Amino acid sequence: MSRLGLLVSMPEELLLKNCRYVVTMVKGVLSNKDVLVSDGRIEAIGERLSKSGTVVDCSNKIVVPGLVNSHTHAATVLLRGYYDAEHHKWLEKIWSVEAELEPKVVYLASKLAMYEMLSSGTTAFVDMYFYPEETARAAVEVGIRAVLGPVFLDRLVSPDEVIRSLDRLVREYGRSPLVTPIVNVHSIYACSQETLLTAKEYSEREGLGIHMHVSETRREVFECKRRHGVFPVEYLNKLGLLTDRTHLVNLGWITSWEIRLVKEGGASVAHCPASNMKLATAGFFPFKEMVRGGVTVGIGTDGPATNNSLDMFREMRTTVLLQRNNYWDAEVRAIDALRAATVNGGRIIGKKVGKVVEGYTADLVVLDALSLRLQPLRRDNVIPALVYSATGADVAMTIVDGRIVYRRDRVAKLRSEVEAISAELNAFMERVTG
Amino acid sequence: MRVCSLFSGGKDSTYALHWAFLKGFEVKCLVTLEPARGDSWMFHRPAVSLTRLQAQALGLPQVYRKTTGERDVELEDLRETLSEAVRRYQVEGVVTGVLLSDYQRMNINIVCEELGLRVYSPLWRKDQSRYLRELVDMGFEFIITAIDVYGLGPRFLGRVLTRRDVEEIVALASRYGFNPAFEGGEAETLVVCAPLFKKRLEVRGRVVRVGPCSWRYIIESARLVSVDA
Repeated sequence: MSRLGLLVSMPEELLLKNCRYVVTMVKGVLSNKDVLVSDGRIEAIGERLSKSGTVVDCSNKIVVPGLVNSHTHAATVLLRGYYDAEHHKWLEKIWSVEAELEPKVVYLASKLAMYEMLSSGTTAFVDMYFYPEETARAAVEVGIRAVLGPVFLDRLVSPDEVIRSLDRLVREYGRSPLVTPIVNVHSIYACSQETLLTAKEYSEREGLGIHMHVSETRREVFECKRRHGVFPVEYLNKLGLLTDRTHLVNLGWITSWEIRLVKEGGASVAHCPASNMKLATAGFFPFKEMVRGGVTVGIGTDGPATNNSLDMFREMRTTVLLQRNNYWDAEVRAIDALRAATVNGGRIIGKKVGKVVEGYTADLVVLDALSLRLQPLRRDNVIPALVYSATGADVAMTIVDGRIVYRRDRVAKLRSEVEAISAELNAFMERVTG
Repeated sequence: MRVCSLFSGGKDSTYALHWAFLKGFEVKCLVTLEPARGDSWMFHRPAVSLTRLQAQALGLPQVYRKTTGERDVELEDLRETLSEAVRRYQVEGVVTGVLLSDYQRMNINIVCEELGLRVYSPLWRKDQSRYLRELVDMGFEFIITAIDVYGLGPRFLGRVLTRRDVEEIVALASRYGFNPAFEGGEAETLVVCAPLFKKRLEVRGRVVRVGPCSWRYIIESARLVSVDA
């Protein structure tokens, strides 16, 4: 087994030859093109390109931008299928297990999640979890892009401890090409005002993004109204926490005037449809109003403990389906979900990814164009095929920073490692919950 | 799911009530608050007393209460009225016809959160022009009883709106910048017949101008007649 897990090769140059389709997200869908990757960047897209280095025959493949999971708790693969209930009841139970977490468990669980993500076309993710240095270590080993940091959550961690962890992370990964430190704030209801202001101050001082759950449940918004006299997004605005560094998650219970505040502040948002439905949060994420208002909307799976999948193809499909069900119209389309998961994901993580164009970083996904789920495939139905029909299982190869980090034809090599990790995680769960 | 319908007798609450039945919910009663003031933030006043006849037409019991219509006080009245619906009919949820008013949606939710009731607002953020067209197409017969907006003349008052009227209203809404489904209180409606009505409401009245852009259809008599009448 490779020390780097799935990392298959690190060529200086990589030529994706004769791609049946290339979904650029800028110039539509191209047919029969070569994509040349050099030094981690897309150097050229054209015909009959040739270079030394690795050549991959893509005549039966679709090349799309790598998907960005705009909100997850990767290491909660540990808790996948552990408890199934409504949001607040679920959270109490999960926190009781998380109070017992150990660094090694987070490392192993993160690694398992990363394998799942890479194998289903996710090249980057925004993460909120404990022991982020363990997740960062796994990300570098596996070769996936991660935006992460320790979590301000008063009940489980002291703010001082979070600051110390952030300092370590910034020191170690401040210039990492793959790992970007971020200030994670669990939520308004899990943090005091003092903690929120501490998080804000740190974010301003270090120029880091802030990532937090907001307005997820009815209980949360009315508790906020009772405690602070305003709804959650208004409250964040009052504290100066709505800026272009802020990334807000869920927002099923946001009011129309708060949507304007999000826009004016320049914050981005993540929609997590499967998790919201599974936890029965009963809100209505106003996708159309957000997009029309110019807000950058991404898509997140949320953690595997609430989804229970990290497959962004499934999440794109769920996004469109839920929005159509909510609005009773078909205005939100497949391309909107794909844009949210690629172009907007790139904006959210502040990287030049999410498009297949010259000069962009080569975070790419190569799908099997012969997959039975996608037939009969044509240039004009590639995008609906990707969003409505494809699943992560159709991914043949994943490329991050120009490096091939996943190949479906070599996944058997991982089996023993995956089995060993699963056994350790199950032993931990038995110890803690048994 | 046992629910009550927050019912004003207008097109939106009547449509939401139908949605609840079609969802398979058990609609146990209508809940109606009659505000003393015409400018209530939460509840519609014109012709609200006629909801008693609509309740008969639907064959549903009604929890009816008068409220001052004053901001905050009316929320307390809503809490008490919903509590009564819970006591009498063991309802677990409330169905509302809220379209786009966060003030109404969030206040109803504040009260219901405290009472442990779920809230269903099926019309929330729906395309308003499309909704208006569908209402007429699906057999909801309603009249306009009050107009408070520039651009919508008194000729629309007091008669059942046709699909042609709706197209005209949608065009006027676009030209004069008001909401075609009257979400902002531009006009008030009264449903006289709907798919689940067992009787039709027959009303007679007259048009009165009450301001530069404000008219009322004063209902002088109302009675239930056969749906085929």
